[in-house]
Amino acid sequence: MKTPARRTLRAVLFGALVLAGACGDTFVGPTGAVTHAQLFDEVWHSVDLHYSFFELKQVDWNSVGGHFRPLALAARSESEFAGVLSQMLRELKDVHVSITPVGTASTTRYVSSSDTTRTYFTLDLVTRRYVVDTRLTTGGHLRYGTANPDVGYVRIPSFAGGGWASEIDEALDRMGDVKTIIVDVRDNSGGQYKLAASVAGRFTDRTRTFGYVRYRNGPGHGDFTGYNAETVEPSGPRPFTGRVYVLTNRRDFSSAEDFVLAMRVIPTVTVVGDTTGGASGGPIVRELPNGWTYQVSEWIEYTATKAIFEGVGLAPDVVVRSTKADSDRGIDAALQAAIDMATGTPAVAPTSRPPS
Amino acid sequence: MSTHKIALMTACLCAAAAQSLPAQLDTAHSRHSDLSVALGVAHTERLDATASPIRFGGQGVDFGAHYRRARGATLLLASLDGGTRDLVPHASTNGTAGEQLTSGVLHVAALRRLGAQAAGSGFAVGVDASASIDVTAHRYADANKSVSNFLIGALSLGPAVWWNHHLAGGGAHLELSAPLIALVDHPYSDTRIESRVNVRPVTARDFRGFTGAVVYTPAERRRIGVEYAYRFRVFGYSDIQPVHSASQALSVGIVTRFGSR
Repeated sequence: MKTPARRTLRAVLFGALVLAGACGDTFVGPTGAVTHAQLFDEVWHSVDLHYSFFELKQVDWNSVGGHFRPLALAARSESEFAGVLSQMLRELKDVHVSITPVGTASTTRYVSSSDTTRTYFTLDLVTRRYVVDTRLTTGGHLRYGTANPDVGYVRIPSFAGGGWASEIDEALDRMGDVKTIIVDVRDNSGGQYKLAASVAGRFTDRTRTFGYVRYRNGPGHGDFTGYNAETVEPSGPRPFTGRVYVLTNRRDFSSAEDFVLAMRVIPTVTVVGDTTGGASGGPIVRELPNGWTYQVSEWIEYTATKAIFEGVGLAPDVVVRSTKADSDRGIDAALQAAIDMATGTPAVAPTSRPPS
Repeated sequence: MSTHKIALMTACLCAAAAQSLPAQLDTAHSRHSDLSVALGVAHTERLDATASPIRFGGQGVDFGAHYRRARGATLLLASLDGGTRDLVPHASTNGTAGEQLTSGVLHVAALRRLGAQAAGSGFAVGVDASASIDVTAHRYADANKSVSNFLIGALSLGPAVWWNHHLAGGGAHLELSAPLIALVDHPYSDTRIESRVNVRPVTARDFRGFTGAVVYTPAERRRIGVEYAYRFRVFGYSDIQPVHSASQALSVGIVTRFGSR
């Protein structure tokens, strides 16, 4: 090879080598240890950019940050630092806001009054007194049975996980030709939104709008998208078109509330029990440079009439609050009311649904 | 594969290919076109603050189709490159975090040779227009292993330079372009939130970077030949939630030539 050509090639290769070596740290940024100050600022800033309820809850986030930053910087251990972050996030008073440090502690989140409300719901009472022949579906996510030959019962304890919506079809098939089904979602803390909507789809004959969401889409605390409709669509091989009673209580949160929201726009559905917990935030997960994760609410969800139910909950059509006295007497008042209404012997007079 | 290993491979590849090849002249009156298709391995380092403050990096596969047409002093370059990468975090998450990046870049550049061409080499400058899209499926390290999709797309216009040098029967060339102005679509959050395109006009102050390639073609006079390339693409987008990305790829392709030199 001639000398000039060799020199040229060397120059080109040298350039490529310099570029390759420099690419990572120079153009993308360094990796490595981060300080508590950097981590704190990342959490504060990211929450500031994405959290959806600052205005609704009248939270002064600057003030919160100013209070907790010195405490975070003074933390002497990772667990102490995680504790300060957790305290700061609890100021949002939102059950969807949590932090999960790696290797120091488990997830911590705000505990609302609904979390600690006694609901007096026990599955044991249901299966002992009202639905004595219950079975689990194949995947074990649902329990079902019949309260009498015409009234079926399905217990959905959670919407966690995914891919098991078809278990409701199995339950509907096994219950035979019941005229009414009681769907019990009491003490259901939520899970996957799509799963909840898919299960609700087994009870509708056509697509219906059940609510709206507006996503945070800008740095201002009032920056949101327009109203995005949430719909429930017919799903499953055999939609149930008979009468449906949905049992709710104060410890229904998040996707369980989405399920209730979807069910209550279906004309054949009556919601019985107590108001739900009022956790509607649509959380997103975020990461920290040290590998910890946290989540914040990113949307505001509305009912079909565009009412916000965050912190308020969804009121039932028929209010039946379980009491300690009922519990002591072995009575599940909400389930009893639903069975009575299903069999045409109303012990509880339906009330109009209070405004959310 | 680290960036250093890729650089070393590039060096070996080019050095081996450059051995014992006779020089060749490229006259200012040549009329010819080259079309090549290539497949290669790629490495990307990336930080998209919209998805995560953690830097992710990893390998994948790149493919590309490149067209070069020379008419006297005018040179037209067009290329379409794409690929996918599996990226892992540069932080100790609980093991489930990851990203899958899918990228596509289209470049069209028109250049003009400058000055008298020295024997065996040439230099051209011109304008490059490009369209790019990067879609990141980000898998979070939470209990649900939730996945969100993020994207950044850009249409840009900027200067381009091209330089070639014949190396003993083969030819090496360098392509380089950088955006000066651009229209960038970078949604505020993941793509489920807003599906509509919301572009922002920016200058090189906010959308900066460069794209380039070092290509070596042994036996340049053959109708069908082999082409070895090292390609890179670096960009940074200044936003409330910035994006930084650096990709490089080594590829081998088949090139077909038309016309006369």
